Amino acid sequence: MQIIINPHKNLKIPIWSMIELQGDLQSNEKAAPFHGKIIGDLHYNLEGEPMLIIGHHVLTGRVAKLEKPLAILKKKQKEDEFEVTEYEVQGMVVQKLLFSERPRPIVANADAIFVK
Amino acid sequence: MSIARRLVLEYLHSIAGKHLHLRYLLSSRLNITLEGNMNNDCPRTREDVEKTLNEAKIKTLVLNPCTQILKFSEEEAAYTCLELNKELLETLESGQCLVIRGDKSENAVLCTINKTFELKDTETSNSLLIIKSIDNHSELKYLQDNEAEGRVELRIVDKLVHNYLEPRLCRPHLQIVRQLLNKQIFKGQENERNVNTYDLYSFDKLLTTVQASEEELLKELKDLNAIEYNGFWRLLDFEYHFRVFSFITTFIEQESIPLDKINMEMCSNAYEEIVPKEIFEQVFKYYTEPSENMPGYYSLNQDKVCRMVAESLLKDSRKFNLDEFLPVWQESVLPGNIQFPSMRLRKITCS
Repeated sequence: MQIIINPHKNLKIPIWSMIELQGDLQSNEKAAPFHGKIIGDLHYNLEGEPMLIIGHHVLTGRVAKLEKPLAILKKKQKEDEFEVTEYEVQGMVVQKLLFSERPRPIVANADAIFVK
Repeated sequence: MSIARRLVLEYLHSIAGKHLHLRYLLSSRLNITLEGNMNNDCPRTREDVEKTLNEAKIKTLVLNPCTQILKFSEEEAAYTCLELNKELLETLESGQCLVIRGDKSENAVLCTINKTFELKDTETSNSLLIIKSIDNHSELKYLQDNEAEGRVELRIVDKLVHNYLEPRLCRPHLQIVRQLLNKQIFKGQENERNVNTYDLYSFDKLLTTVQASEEELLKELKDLNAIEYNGFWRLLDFEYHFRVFSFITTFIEQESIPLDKINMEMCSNAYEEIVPKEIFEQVFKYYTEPSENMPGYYSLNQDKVCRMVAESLLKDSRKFNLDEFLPVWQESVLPGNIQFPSMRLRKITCS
């Protein structure tokens, strides 16, 4: 059996991005937990350090270069089952925004920020 | 290092029932113009963002005024992540494909044209959010000059992953090649009608089973002395091989050809009734090298000739006293013309 990984149609692989969070994201909803949900606000301070606000946490991070680039592959739709399975390179991540520091909780004021 | 922390994802606005009439300027730069983003209204406004910053006691003064709102896509993208080393990246960017080979029951290997890599499924406890593009600080800074006030832009997160494929250079798995070719050893054209084509392997068919790159597979075929005949790779039956070998040596002897000026064409023509040219020439090329003295002609590889003779002598007899063997061997090889120093003997017998 062979599975083909095709190069990007432009040859030069477009640069994609990645955010790395130390931990898990959890959602209130059980079914289709993440689809279409807002994650948070991404800011940069004037020194270029990224800051992410998720829920009531503030995460500070840094830009980190990946040791080796990570290619993002997408499976090609097969017209019939006898075709060879193919993947296509969509993009390549070379650097990430790494949030590995302990998040700082936001202490909410009396006016609740949750709108349900 | 990685302690599992739970970050709770909360809705800050309920989307249902809220009429989002504000549209935010998206970047005019090409790599930000994502069709997905264009269709989505940004679910958070400048005011929302500033309110959150206020609650977090963060001053907007210390921040780049552009904020990117991260949101998961409606449908999860079917993406797989593959770590690229130098060879893999070069292969892809030069327009060549990578091929994963193996049986469903085997561990997958990834191949370039000449290297084989084991694929490890690597898991991390961290969450990796894959996003087509996020502006970095320097890109946002540039935009800032055109804008009067802070901008809020939507960025879609295509997928959250914990796994990626990690390739590690490995030896190709070539033991199976001999096994496959042994199914239908070539014993002569007369025998071919008994052969089941289903058990024959072309180079392409071998690649669907053998976990190796093309160049590594080709080298293995050459090392096995396999020959390509009618599009299929075959191992030659020893008797048949020896017959072809004998034709070559007989021809040289009979025509009294100098050992470094052998004409392949003439040789193969002489036997084309008996041995298909395709096979003859491949065997011929095994026992010869292109002649240095006369381009277009071939020189006999004396080591290989001696080895073949030795092999045929030893094949049938179980035991052969070295003292008795040596003279017999010497005589069996082409008399007179071939140098037979004892050094060669030792080299060949030891292998």
